Amino acid sequence: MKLLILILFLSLNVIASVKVSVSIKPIHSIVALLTEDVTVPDLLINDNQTAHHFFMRPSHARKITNSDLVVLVDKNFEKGFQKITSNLENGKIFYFSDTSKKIINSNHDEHDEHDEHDEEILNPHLWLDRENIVNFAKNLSNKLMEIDPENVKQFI
Amino acid sequence: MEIDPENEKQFQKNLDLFLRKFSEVSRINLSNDDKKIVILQSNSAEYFLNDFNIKDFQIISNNHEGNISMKKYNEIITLSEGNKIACLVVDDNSNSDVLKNLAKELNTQLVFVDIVGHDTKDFYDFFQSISERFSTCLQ
Repeated sequence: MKLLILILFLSLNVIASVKVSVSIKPIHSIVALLTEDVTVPDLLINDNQTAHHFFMRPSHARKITNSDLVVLVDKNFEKGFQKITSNLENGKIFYFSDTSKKIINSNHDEHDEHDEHDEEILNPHLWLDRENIVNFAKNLSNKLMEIDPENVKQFI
Repeated sequence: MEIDPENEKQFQKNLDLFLRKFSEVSRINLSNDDKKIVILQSNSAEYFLNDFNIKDFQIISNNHEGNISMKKYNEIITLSEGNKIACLVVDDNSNSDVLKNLAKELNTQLVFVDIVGHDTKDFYDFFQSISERFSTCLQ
């Protein structure tokens, strides 16, 4: 009986913790390590979809609006989420790119044979640079530490 | 803003552990003394190669579709004449016939690098698997 009460208590603690959603798997893997024993982050774009081409579903919208913090790569990357994230209050979105010191811009070559359409866009694969990873981890941890637990409880 | 002292402690503990373990798994030595050229299907590994100071690479396309224009195809073939090619890195597992043919023409290996980490158990495993793939490529 005591064990049951303990399990119930521990699970309630997890439920009451800060809710975090993360767009893609590699970033989610980092966030999962940083939030271990506090909360379990939701993965928004699963293994069967790519961040370049995905359709937002009602389940995505629910997870995003119910989150205290939504972690995305860049404002121009997960374009399918732009409409819903634009309605979120400031401070609820955390962009990996905002913490990255090393940024590479590439020519957008969707129309390879029409050079006149080339434009410089961010190469979004920021999670493959060690300094970017470390900066992201430090900044996200600071952000998580700032989130007010009293407000978190009001959302439940 | 008020800080939850319990969670703050745990977040700090997690961060310290992450930084320590990540520093261990990412402390690897990738070198390209022979100046072999790495051919990349897309620009996804550009950060990784720059980070490890591997400057000899050629990007086929800035998307992951596995498409390659005839112009680019011929450019890569021309580049291979007089240069050593390390490997052709693909980041989707669709096994595009065009890329397979290109690897064959270049007489090089096709190396799949999973830049998302579909089958890896955590981020350390993910980063390590990418490092190992590039190490294989550059051997």
